[in-house]
Amino acid sequence: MEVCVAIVTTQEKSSGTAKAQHQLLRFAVRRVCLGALTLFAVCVVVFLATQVLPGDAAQAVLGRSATPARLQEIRTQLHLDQPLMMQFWTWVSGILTGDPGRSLVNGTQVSDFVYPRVINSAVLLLLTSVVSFPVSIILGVVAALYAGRFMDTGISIVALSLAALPEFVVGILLILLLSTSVFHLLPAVSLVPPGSSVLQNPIILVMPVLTLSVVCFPYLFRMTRASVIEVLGSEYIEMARLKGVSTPRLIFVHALPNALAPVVQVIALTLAYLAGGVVLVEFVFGYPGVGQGLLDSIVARDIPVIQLIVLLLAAVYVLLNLTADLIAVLLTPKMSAHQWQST
Amino acid sequence: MSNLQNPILSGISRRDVLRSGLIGGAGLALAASSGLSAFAQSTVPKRGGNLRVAFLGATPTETLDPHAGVVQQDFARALGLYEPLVEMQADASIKNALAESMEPNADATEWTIKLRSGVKFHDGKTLSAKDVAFTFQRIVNPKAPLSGAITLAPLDVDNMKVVDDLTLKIPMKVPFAVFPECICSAVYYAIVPEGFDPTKPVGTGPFKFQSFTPGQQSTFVRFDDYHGGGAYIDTLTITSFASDVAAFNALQSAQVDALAAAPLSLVRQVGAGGAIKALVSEPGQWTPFTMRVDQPPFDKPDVRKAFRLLVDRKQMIDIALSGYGEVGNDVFSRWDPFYDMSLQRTRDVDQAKFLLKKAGEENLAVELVTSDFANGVPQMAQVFARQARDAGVTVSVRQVTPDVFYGDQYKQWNFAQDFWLHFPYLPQIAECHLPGATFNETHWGNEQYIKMYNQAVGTTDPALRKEIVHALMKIDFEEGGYIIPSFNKMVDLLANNVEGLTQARTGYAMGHFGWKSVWLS
Repeated sequence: MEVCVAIVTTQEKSSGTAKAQHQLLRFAVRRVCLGALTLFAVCVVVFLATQVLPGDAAQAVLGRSATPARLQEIRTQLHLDQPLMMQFWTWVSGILTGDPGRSLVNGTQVSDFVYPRVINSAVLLLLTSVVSFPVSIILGVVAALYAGRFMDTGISIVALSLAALPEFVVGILLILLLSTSVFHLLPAVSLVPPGSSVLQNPIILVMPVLTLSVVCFPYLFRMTRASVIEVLGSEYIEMARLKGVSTPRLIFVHALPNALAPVVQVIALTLAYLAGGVVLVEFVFGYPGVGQGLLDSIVARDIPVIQLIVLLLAAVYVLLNLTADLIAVLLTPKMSAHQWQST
Repeated sequence: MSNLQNPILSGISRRDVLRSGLIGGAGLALAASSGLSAFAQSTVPKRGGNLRVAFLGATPTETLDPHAGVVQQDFARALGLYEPLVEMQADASIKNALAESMEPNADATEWTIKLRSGVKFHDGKTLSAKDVAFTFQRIVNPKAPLSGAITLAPLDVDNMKVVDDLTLKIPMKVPFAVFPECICSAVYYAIVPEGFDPTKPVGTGPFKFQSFTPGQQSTFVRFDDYHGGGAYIDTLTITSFASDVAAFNALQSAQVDALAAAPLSLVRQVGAGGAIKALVSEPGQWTPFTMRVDQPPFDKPDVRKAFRLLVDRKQMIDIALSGYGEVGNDVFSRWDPFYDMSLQRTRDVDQAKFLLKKAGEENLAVELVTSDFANGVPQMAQVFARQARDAGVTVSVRQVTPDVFYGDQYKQWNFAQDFWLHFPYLPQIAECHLPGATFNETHWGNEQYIKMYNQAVGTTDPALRKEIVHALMKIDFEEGGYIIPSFNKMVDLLANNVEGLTQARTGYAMGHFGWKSVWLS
């Protein structure tokens, strides 16, 4: 009999798991579809926005030497005189077949301009994540453990001060410190010769990664700290303590997994911030990333380039949010996918 | 005599003599023969090295097409890759480059161009008259006119005659005696080979094309078959920066060797005796205020004159340009050989008030549109607004971004500013003071003026031309739509080992992009 009961419970349990998995799958599919819809909407809105901007690519190319005859000639060349729907359709059909077209202002392949920058930005994002996330989380846990004591106060003051500094100020201070004025250890700007990879000369990555890590640190640190403190104050931790669980086990097995859900959300937001083109940092270091690329192409009214970059950035946002939500669902068994869906 | 008694002092003195001799360019042989070879080595140009120059204003619209350049790095590249028939030098004089001679017939209706022989293009082809004909046809192509098309309008390009490999005859639709000074720059008038393709640029200049990524970087290598004395540096790397701070930091950490046309705010940070030196040019650029002479209130000459009288030019230079400028007197082309230095204007607020009253424009309020497209321009607008208040004129300054400024409304602004480099006087009129000219911001089109202009460009008699030019300048000075408060100096920041660049008068950076003369010590 006991065996029977056991079998029944297992069956119930497994069908429950299957149901949960099914729900999770439905949740994911629904979110992916919504994401695709979002991307399309973004493309339409951005395309319309480029039309509202004063001037066009022909004017950007000719600058002050524009004459009516030359403007007309270049507009015809670039098909800027075609109806809006037509221009948009040409671009959409190009993207669907994997050909984002040519730059309006210099005739090079859009992909040649965008993809190297995407890789540069991705490298920056990955390295910053690898450096700053573990450090922030560990320091967050440490601060939580020593909450209210000297160690906590010290780290928190540093974090708050850093949070108050805009990223370009951090960048410039680091340059003054490490490159130009105090020490002369690192290159002040991160020049990447076109056609070569940033990884061929990794030293140029140090300054931007350091800057971004400093910029990202406070938020993640504070979120980890708050979250861990909250969990440490809960009853089950008290219970575990009373049972005599060792501190490392208490932190890593009992407290941290439960404290991670909000941290994951902040990580996702930070990654989205990093992916969204950290224009100011790219600007300060002359680093050829997507942010500066987007800015340049907007000034030049280079619509195919603007569209592709925005599409890629929007896709990254959608994917990051989706992943963060899925991880959060998995980390919070109490909260079913259904509940997340309704939030 | 006392110096000779002291061996140490006498040594220094001899060295000083040598040094001053070297600077004068005369003591070279003396230095070599006297055994001070170490000293001589540091002043004799050295071959080799890669010169890395930073430019500001990175944009994906940058181009290698010499006939369609817009930003200064386009011009910088054009002067390395290409050459015109006759070329303006750093001192604003004009010398033959690819042309051995350019001669007009008696009434300047036909020009005969003789080319220098044995000039090689980068692809090994020899320069011929056909290439010159192709170049002019390319620029004025009615289907796709390039920047120089309007200036070349007098040329009858359909009837050009290639006499032999090195001789070309160009008939003119109207008498055109100032043809050489109109085409004196590789910017817009570079000679390119037949079938020229700007994506694989080939020219006759001292540097060959190696790589180009618009808005980022371009590289060039010395052309060893160059027809003149070749360049000293092996390679030239031009990097475009979006941020002036990044460019300056790159210079400070020796990632580039020069920052061309630096903002004055950065120049102030460079102290004497450091690792960075400043190359201050002669005054050449000009950033005029432009008044539309066809729109009220500037259609009244008295209002224009009043506005010119109320400017304290010295103060404007001191405040807006940090002193980097020379007083201008509302007439352009400072270095034209016929320039009339007698035209001078000093501030006279009472006279300005009187003229405004006479014109019925007391308590005038105008809007001044400005933009940050050159050093000190928005600051000049602010200073102007302040100075105008003394004459009871209210000037409200509206600053727009450069892309808006040079967008649809460029040349429509009633009262605005603009930016120019040095160009000889008569060609400059063709650019900015003729009806239909590409840059006629002031909508100037005085009939008498145009008649005199046509007479000046039509005469082969220099004395007569000088006389007419002076009369035209007088009209500019009395009635024109420009206020030219200054001719601006520009400042390049160089690493200490960058040598051989002169103080250019042309408004171009880096000693008129002296890629041939620059060397690294």
